[in-house]
Amino acid sequence: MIMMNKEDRKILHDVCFSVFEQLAFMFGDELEDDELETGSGFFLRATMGFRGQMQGSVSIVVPETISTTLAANILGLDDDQEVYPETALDALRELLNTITGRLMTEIFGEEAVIDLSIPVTEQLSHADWESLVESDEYLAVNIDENPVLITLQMQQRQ
Amino acid sequence: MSFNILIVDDSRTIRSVIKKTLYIAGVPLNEVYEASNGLEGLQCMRDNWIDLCFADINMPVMNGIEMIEKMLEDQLLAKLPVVIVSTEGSKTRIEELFKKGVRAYLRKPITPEIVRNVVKEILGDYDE
Repeated sequence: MIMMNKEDRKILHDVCFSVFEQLAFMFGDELEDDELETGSGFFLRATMGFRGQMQGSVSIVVPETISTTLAANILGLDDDQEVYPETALDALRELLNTITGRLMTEIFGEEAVIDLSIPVTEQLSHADWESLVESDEYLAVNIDENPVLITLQMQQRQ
Repeated sequence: MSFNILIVDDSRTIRSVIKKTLYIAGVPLNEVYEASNGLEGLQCMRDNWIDLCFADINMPVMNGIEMIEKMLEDQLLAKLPVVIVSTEGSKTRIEELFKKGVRAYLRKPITPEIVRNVVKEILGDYDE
């Protein structure tokens, strides 16, 4: 497994903020480790794989509370319009899909051909979140006062 | 004149976003059909008159490239204009799509201005 280097981290940072801004009209800044405290509640993780000259995966973890705002913003819904759980998951998958597509071009260039898998989502507990935070292999960002973790894992293609 | 549009994408969110973008862009719409993969898309094209198809590449069951290849094998569908809406950024893959007859490629996220220009370029200036 190849750890995220400084350059990849910078690319991930820039792509992430740009996609949140353009797709969901949400803005943020990078978080320090000691700012990753969260209340109770659960989290949602979307993950998708890629395979080209390298292979790996990209994932995003968000508090469940932000997922409805995310979906409402992407879909341009009014405040009184309900966001169903499946809509929130679908919006999170699409956000990750857009981040990953951009990321692949930024890291591997426009000539590279990369196959992407279909994004999948799962629910994480607070304990899962804490163990992720301990792993230190993520980019932590603050999106509308909510902590969001993004990870990029890569390895040489087998 | 108003158009029948087909949107093929496995994400309901993206289908809604494209639909909304078409409305904001002022595209005169008759019917907007939706399909969640290439296979459903092909069926919809065979069952309905479609003026323009927006399609994703990365989809389960049948992806966008396979759908376009099937369209080329079908005399009735071969000339139906397809616009790809995807996160794909590979020049090599985009060139392959144009060789298969794709009329335009839009990278997500899309804007009403871009959609308006593409629709006008393919279907003609609907403002006139």
